[in-house]
This record gives sequence, C-alpha cells and structure tokens, in this order.
Amino acid sequence: MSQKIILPSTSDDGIYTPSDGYEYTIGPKQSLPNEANATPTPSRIYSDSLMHRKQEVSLSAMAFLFQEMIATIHRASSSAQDFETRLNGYGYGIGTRLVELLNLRNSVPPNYSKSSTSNFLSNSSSASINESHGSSGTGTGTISSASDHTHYHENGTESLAAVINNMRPRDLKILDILQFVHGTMWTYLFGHASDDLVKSSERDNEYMIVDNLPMLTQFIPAGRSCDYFTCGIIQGFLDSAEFPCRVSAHSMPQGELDQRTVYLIQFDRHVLERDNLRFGP
Amino acid sequence: MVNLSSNMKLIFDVETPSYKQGKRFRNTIVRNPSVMPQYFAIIGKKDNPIYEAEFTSQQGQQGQLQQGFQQNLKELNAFILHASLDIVEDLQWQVSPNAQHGRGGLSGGFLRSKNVNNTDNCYLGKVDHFYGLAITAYITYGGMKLVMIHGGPPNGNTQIDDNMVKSFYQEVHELYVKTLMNPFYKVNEPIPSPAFDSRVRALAKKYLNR
Repeated sequence: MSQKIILPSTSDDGIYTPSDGYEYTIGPKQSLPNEANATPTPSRIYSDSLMHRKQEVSLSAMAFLFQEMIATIHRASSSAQDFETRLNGYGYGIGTRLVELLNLRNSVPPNYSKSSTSNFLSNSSSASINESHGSSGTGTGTISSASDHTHYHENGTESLAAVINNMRPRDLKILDILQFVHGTMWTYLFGHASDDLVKSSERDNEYMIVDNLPMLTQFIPAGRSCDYFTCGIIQGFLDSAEFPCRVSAHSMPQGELDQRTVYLIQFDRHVLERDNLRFGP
Repeated sequence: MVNLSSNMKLIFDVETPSYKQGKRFRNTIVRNPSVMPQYFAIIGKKDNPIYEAEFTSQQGQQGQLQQGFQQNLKELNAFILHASLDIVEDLQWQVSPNAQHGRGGLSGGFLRSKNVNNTDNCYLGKVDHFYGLAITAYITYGGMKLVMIHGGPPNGNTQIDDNMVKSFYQEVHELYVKTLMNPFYKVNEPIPSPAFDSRVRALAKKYLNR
C-alpha cells in the first residue's frame, strides 16, 4: 500500500477523481447526479455468470498439477509439519471461496438452470466468435464482447440474485454445516458425496469425514501428508462459516480399502458452547 | 457512551432550526420518501470496512435540493453503523432472526420490521435505529456483514421497503461472491475495484432510489 495520508474529513469531494473505486483511506464516496447514467465499467469478473456449468478437469491433468504442487512445497519446507501446514494453506483459500459460492448456487431455484444453460451456451459462442474476429483483425473484438457481457448483465440474464426468491438459510448448527460439507461440497469437488460422516464417541468436539478412495492422493502410496490439501479446504470452509476448527488426515484401512482416509475435524470449544447455548444440549 | 449520545443529542438540537427554515424543502421529503440518503458498508471479519458508499438522491436535475446526509453529521455514520454490529452478531446465530419472538427470545423483535419471510436468515431486516435513522443488515454465508443506514425525514420515522432492500442486498452479495472468485483477491481486504463500485451504485439507483 502506497504511503497515503489518512484524511480526517470525508466531506471534501474534490480530492479524488470520481472514476476511481472505493479507497479505504478516504472513506465512502458520494454518488453524484451526473454519473447516474454512466455505463458501468466493463469487467469480465463482474459480468460472467456464477451459474454452474458442467466442466470437469481430467484426473491425469489434475494429478500432474497436484504432483507439481507437492514437489514445490516439499522442496521449500523443512519438516513434515511445515509441509502439512503449507499444503493446508493452499486448500484454505479454496474453502473460504466455496462457502459463499456453493451456498449462493444452492439458493437458485432448480427450474432456472435449464434456461440459463442454453442462454449461457449462446452467450459463450457469440463471445468466442468475437474473440476470433479480434485475433484476426485489430483487437476491437474483445472489447465488443466485453460490452456484450455488461449488456446481458443489465438485462438481468447474468444476475443470479434476480431469480432467487429466498436465499438458502445460513447453516447455524454444527451438524447442518457438516452435512453440507459431506454432501454438497464433496459432490462439487469429487463428483460424489463422502463415504461417511461420523461423530466421535470419545470427544464431543470431534467429527470425522471418511473417504474410501481420496480422489487427489489415490496415486500416492503411503502416508496421509498429501491429504492436507483437502484438510485445508474443509478448514477454510468451516472457519469462514464461523465454525473455527482444526482438521487432520489419518489413514484407516478397512478390508480391501487400503487408501481409506479419515478427515478428523476438531472444533474449537466455543463453537460447542455456542451450539449448546443457542440450540440446547 | 452516555456522554457521547448526549453530545449527539446536542448536535441534533442545534441543527433543528435549519430544517424549519425551508418548509418547502421538508414537504418534498415527506411526499417522496425515495429521496432519502443511504450509507452502505460491507464489514469484514475483523470489523474492518471492506467497502463503503454513500447513496444520495439522483433527482437533482430540476434545481431541486440535493438531499444527502448533513455534512457535519455524515462522519458519524461509520460510528452509528458499527454500534449496530453487536445486535447483528447476536441475530446471526438465531434460528429465525426475522420472527417477532425468536426461539431464544434473546433480543426481542420490537425494533424489527415485520414483513420479512421467516425462513430467510441472510437478510436480517431492520436491526437498529438512531435518532430517526434506520439500520438494516444482511449476513453472507462467509460471515461478511452488509449494513446500511437509511436516512429519514428529520421529524418522522424512516420507512423501509423490505423487498427492495432485500433485493439490493442479494445483488450486492452476488457481486461480492464474484469479487471473491478473483484469485488475486484475499478475503477481508478492501475492494478498490471501480467496476464493483459502479455496479453497486447502479444497483442502488435501481432498488433504492427508483
């Protein structure tokens, strides 16, 4: 962050240009009447739809990428614990994003998806045509495709919130949020729900998610260190939903399933206290 | 805290005559409740502002008065808004925060607006008020708090159209999720993007000022 003086007053409008975004050292910007009809700044991030399109990554490509991640972290870390912490950090950011994304997608009424996929297909095909124009010509094609996207947004086609009547309720109980991880999140990541969700009988803050054949680490023979990537995803998800916890991976072979992995989730004490206080024992 | 609020009372008392001077001005506001100013902020996990904006009336073309928050009270907005965060955090863990009598009965529904769907616990409705200003809140799944102060007529109650405000929050929530999809954006950092800013303002114009 550049060295900027924090201005004591938010009332002086003349000190910044109105085209800039939010600047936290200055404070809220007042909307001015002459910019009311200005077209929104074009941006791919904000005009693309959040709707789920079926896109699967090939397992071999993912395994190759994962292998490179492991190698990089392995070179950089000094101990096994250091390695696990770093790999956990890689997954953590994914988890924090999934909690918002998957919940929002689950709020969309089920009958919406059909119309939107056809819509999306036509949209993407037109964009690709534009882009091919741009590559052959002067490059104006990409700009026009961007304005196409904003146009769709203004029509409400790309905005999911407009079709949502009721947002999916936030998960407040430990069991509810674990069900979501076990079902929805696992299906989004690995194509199937996890194989089991167990509550520890010894300690009441421990829960376990069981995967018989972990998707990412199935080609890595011994030790469960590499599963800390998935641990990070789970931890990021639960932490940002305000269920702070620690997650670890343990090998627990059963019969023929010698890759069977248990993700042990240990919630912080105050999560249980809150659960008891709000919803009774 | 007691001292602070009594000081604020003092400021309000001093300011009252300026309203009384322009009777025409006051009448315009009462007839058209949509020209109220709003202060909107996204508050992060550490009670830090991620984004702030102030929406004033867009109807200033015909020489009408440009109605906003008063210059000298405007800087209190952030304080008023943060003062309501305790209530928001209590409601965050209630099963049906919009019901008139919550199951826990921990914070009574006397401040709250009534006509909200009960199963929805993202939009919390009106959570607090401060000298005629109403405060509404919304919580995202990742615990970000979207909070807004609705300015009102100087001597009346601020009316909130829950459906419009809820739609506004949902749209901003979607924009926030889109921001989050950017791999270079870190959770809890301010959102300086002009694209985000212009879209939020367009939404405010669509849903709040009509």
